[in-house]
Amino acid sequence: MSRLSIAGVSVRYGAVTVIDGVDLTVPEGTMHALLGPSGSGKTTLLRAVAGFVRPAAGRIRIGERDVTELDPARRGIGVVFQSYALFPHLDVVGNVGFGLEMQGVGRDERNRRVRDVLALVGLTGFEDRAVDRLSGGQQQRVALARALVIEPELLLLDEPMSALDRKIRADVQQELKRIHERTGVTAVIVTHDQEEALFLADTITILDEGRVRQVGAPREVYDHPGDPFIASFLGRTNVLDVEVEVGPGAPSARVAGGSLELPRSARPGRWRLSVRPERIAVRGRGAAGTLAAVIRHIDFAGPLATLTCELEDGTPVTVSMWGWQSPEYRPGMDIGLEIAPDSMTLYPEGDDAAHG
Amino acid sequence: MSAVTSQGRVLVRRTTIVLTLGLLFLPLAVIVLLSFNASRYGTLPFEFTLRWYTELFGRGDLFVATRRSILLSTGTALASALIGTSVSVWLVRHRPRALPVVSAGLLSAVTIPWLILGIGMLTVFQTLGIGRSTSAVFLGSLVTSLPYQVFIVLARLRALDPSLEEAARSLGASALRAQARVVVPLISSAVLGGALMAFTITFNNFVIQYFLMPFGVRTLPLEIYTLVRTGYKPDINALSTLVLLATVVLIVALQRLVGGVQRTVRPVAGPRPDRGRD
Amino acid sequence: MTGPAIATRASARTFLRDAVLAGPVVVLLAVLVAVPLGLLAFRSLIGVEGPTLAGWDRLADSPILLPLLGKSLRLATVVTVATCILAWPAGWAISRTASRHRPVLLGLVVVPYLTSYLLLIYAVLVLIAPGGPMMSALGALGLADARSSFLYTPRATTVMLVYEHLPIMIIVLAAASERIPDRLLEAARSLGAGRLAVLRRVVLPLTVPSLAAGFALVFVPVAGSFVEAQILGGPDGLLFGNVIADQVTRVNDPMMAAVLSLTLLTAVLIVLGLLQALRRSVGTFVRARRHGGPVRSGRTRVLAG
Repeated sequence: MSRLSIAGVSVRYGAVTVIDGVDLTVPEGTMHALLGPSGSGKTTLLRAVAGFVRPAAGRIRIGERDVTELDPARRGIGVVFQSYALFPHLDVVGNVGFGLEMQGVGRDERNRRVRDVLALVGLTGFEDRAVDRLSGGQQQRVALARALVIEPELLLLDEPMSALDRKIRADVQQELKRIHERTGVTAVIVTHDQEEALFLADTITILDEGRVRQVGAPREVYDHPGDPFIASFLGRTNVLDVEVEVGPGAPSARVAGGSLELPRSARPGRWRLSVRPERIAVRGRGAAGTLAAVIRHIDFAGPLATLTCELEDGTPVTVSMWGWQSPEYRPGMDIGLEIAPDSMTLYPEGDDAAHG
Repeated sequence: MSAVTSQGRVLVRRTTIVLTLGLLFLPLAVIVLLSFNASRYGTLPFEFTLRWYTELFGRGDLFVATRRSILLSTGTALASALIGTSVSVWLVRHRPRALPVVSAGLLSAVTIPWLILGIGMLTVFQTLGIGRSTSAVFLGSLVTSLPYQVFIVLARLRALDPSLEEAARSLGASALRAQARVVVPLISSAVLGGALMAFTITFNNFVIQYFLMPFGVRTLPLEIYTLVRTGYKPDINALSTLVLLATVVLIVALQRLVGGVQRTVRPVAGPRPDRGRD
Repeated sequence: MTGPAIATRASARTFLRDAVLAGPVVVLLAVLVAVPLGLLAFRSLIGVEGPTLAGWDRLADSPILLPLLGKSLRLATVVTVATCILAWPAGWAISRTASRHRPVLLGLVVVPYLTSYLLLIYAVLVLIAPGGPMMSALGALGLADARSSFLYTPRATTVMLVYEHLPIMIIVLAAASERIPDRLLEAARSLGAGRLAVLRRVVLPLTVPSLAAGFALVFVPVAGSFVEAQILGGPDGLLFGNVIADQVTRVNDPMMAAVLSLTLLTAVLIVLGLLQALRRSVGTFVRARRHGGPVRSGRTRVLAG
């Protein structure tokens, strides 16, 4: 178990630069998520760490060792592939024991360690099962066990849940988090599922077009996205163009339908204001400090409901609330929207929210 | 759709299949039956005998020709397995860009009528001063068998999830060991299937043998060709029955090896990783 | 300092790898597929006394040769179409059987195809011989004279060639039909298509590409066949292939062998080219109908098998 550090790594396929000078450090024992839209280079970065692609520039270190030039077999990594890549001609024990066999571990110790890791992932009793006779979730756990049993310094997971049903995925995510806490292995997980990243990771890197857009803890990147692209990629957000006025009191902005109190740090000028739908509260029309709005649609989806509202000038604003609260409201209803200053993020105008 | 019409449809289908198979097997069935018939001229009434089989084994020329055909086909099958598999690995792993050229070459070996290919090869061997010879037949058979070998192995190699090899590498296997422990076991049945196909094609490749075998040296097809032109031969019936039997065994083996492909080939689970897109 | 040396060693190793893995097959294909064609072209222009166009002149002037080529190509067309028609019902029926029965059925179908075709020729010869099982049966039914037969007439060759190539066509059509799921037919029916419209608008367009492959797989060997005609066809049954083979085995005229081989090859390639063009235009036509505009057809190969 060691920390991973990536310094100035670039990967090119011919003339195309897929990874462009990425720096990244993953502290020992933590789980780090590489998150980004498809084509962002997240899988390529993982494959560079695994040694399946050779970077054109930069160094990769696992612990104190520089592994940039090292063969994948000697990096001390465990990889869980998107397709699982279970060996179809071997049974569960054959698959899980493969890495130990390659290390020359004796049969008895091998059996013991395979048994232990299968217990860890909850597959005791499946030892002799052919891998194509397992469910998707079980195959996923065999792949995880196979990568963990060699006690890697670094665990790499490439979109490990993408082949699973939504419901099973939630179970497996719980399971993975528990196993990660138990083993304490440093791990990097590639995913395009933002909820998965937020749920599993200690830190998240957001990649786009081969560059790092933001690094931070889940709360940090979610509550304070570095730019509107990240805000809209990581969950949903409302973006309002505002003109900030700094008077004697708190800074404020004039918006169609009212005035908004802004954070103390706001500076005068034209800004883009981003606020998450769940941070907007619905009040009665005319309540103090609210924006006048009209409800257009209500979409009920079980635990949550989404209200699509419109400000006086027609700007759409999305608000989410608990599903059970939604029957109070009707389309066409006049309401007031309350947005607390600490829930806002301001970006200079010109940051492109539609980017990506 | 009502149950009646769908039942009727099944009946029509079964009848079609039975009739077609009947048509395909009618001549062969007649030969098999006649091989056990005592009459020298294939006339009825049917009287059971094994005489033609004993006579068959007494015939030195057919025995020699059969042995020659088996040796030739085995040699071709082994050679085709070896060089066909290595070129397939090369095409998939190292030079995917050579694929169109090589497969065009292989396809020509199937597309050009063997009559023309045989005459062309004979011309080459004569120019080289080799002329008609067993080695010429061997090389000619190899060329006509290779397309099948390569396309069978190539299909299997391409169906392999490339992550399998990477998984083996990440688990500490050297490049060579990953091949030996993961790739070889997973393609072995396709290699064997291709070799069986090569065996069958060589065993039956009359045209190439007709043009390239030295005069007087006969393989089984050449021997049959010589005999058949003189009309009905009860011992050929016996021989045909045995060849037919061997063919059936071969086809069963082929189906086990290549027909059952889907089970061994299909990546165990999950979507194929989208390379290059991300 | 050692950069170039390493590069040289690396490229030497790459060359060695390429030579070991691909060398044998590439050399074999070059020497026994490409070179023979070139050599045939060369030989077709070399007579006993040196370079000459005499061979090609003889082909052009002969009252027999070109008409014989026409006969061979016509026969190949007839045989291919007949094979198609005979194979289609069985191919479709096999594709609709339970998937666990399909390998058995297809295995049975290929048995005659993988058996030495000289044995097939012999079997057909015995079957249709005068006084043989078939003629006796027909005679007993009063449909024909048991003592007569169409053996040793061109019709025997045609029957033999159809019989010989039926299996491969069934395999091709079964594979093509398998790729047309029942859901698709049901969808077409649900959209109001009649049986005939389903056949014409769904089944046929989806089968045509495979049909082209099957066509090539039968047409090419039939156009180049000679043994069938030699054994079964009788005196009137000679084909272009027989003349070519005779140049090698009897007449021993390498120049004419080369001229006639190249002529047949050219004819076959032209037919394959036409087939390809037809297939492409059908493909474009189908897509155009579907999308309401011409669409560039994908690159396709007739002989995909």
